[in-house]
Amino acid sequence: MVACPKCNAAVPLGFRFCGNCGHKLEDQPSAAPPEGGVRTIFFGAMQTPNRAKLILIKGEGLDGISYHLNATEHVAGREEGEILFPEDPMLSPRHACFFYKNNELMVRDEGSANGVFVRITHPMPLISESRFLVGEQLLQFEPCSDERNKPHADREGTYFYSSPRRPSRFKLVQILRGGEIGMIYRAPTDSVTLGREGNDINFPDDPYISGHHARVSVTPDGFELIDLGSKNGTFFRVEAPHALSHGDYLFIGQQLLRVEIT
Amino acid sequence: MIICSKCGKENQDRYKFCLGCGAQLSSPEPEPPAPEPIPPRSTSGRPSLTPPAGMAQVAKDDLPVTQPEQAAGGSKPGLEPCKSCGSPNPVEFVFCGNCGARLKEVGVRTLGMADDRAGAQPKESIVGKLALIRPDGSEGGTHPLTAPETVIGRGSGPLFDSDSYLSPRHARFSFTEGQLLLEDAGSLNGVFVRITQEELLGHGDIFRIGQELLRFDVILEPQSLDDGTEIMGSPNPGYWGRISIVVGPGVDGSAFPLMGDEIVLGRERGDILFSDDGYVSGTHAKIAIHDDGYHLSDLGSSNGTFVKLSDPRVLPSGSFVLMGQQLFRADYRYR
Repeated sequence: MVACPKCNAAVPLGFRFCGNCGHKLEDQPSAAPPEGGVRTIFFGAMQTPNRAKLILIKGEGLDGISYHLNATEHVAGREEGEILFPEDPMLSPRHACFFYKNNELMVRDEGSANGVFVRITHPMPLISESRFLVGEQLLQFEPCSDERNKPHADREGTYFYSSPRRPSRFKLVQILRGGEIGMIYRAPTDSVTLGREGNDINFPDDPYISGHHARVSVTPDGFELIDLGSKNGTFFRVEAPHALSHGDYLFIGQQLLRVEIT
Repeated sequence: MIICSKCGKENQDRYKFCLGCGAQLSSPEPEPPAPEPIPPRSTSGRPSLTPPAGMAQVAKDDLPVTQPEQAAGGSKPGLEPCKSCGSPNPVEFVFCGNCGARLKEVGVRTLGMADDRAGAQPKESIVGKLALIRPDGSEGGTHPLTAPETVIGRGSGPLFDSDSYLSPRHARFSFTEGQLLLEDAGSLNGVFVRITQEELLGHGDIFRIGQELLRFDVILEPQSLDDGTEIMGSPNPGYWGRISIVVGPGVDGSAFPLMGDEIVLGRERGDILFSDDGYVSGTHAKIAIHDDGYHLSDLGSSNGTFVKLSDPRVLPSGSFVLMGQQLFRADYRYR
């Protein structure tokens, strides 16, 4: 089986055209990432009676390859474990672990540098330093409500001169590749939308972001992140062990995986 | 009334420069200090931040701010505003009675005489002063800079005592080899000098335009961790630096990545806008990247661009210095 580079459908070896979309398979660089939305169709032969598996949607190697999770623990990383992506520098040597607990599939960050991101399917509460992905953008949430009107005098009674304080409940920090801070957006309102155009924060050059992609807003209890029906989804970095459901998507490094639970 | 000792012209008591010849006038009696009133404390006990002393609210269309100052010899017809400070002066005056700036060209003979006189002066000692500059541009009292070293801080005198943003020991002025040297004396808020030419910016340098306290940071090339992992993040489209608004000690507000050859900061036009800061000019300052580094320059703003001193700096006479909430001009000459 190989995966069609255009539609990700599995195609038996030797076939010159994809049975799903008719795409010509010869001379196609397999590294080309699928543009826009990703769709996965599986042949019946790939279904197994195993409990769960991960399907590689976007990343190095052949799209559509599946990793069967038959043991109790499965480590993913660049150098260690059963699920290996040796060419992905965004993965730590030992990155994440997939395991079963109370018959449920869980994922745990193994202290990786870049974390495990799970696509959100419902509003996600945000706390200080929560990180999420929209398109190619990595953003960090920080509340800033307690900065207002706080006098700052040192031991000698001198007040700290600062720029005028614009009222804001939270800010979003763009983390650049390499860890530097790019933009810091201090929200002037209680709700901030993100997307390619026509939002409070726009990333017009990001090909993976939807027109209106996600929203961060103040709630009675705190703050939340919701996806606005984007094509590629909004991914939230999970700090604690996280239960996975059938159809969940997750990013480890540059690898996008889909969870199949049978 | 002060009679000028150089040309004999009669001048009003508050004038510091002779209206006829521009010579510095000595007051008949000590001038009462007129400290800049510090903005009243707000109900929370925190001193109000606005308006900063010595800064004029920039008019919407960026026209020069008109001076409400009482006209010099106001009853006479034919007044002309000084190009430097805006004070009205009778048309026949050669020098502005308020700030001493030259109002019109004079004959070669007069210039020659002035040069001779200056050349004949023995350069024995230096007299200097720190003049408080009010928001309207006028002077609001002075503090002497005559000792070899003068430390200014909260408690140094009526000009400084009520400024809660001055540290007890804030800035040190000293004369070395005929030059005025200014350095930060370990203050909380720093000592800022108005730039008159392009200024090299380094990583972490702090500067002020209008009410904005800004920090410049260099964005470095990404580096891998020791185990070979690269840090994930948004793609960098070519950002080489970042301007952050400082809103508290160690606290940043908004931050703007810098890209391209130059970035213009302003209130109405430019790449980074401070539309709600009335003390920022329409286009105020520029940061450019050259082969030898990052350059900050002022774009003819009304209130100037100020850099925070990290090293001692030689100040030419007439330099503007921002300390605490107040703006000063450092003047000195040989006696």
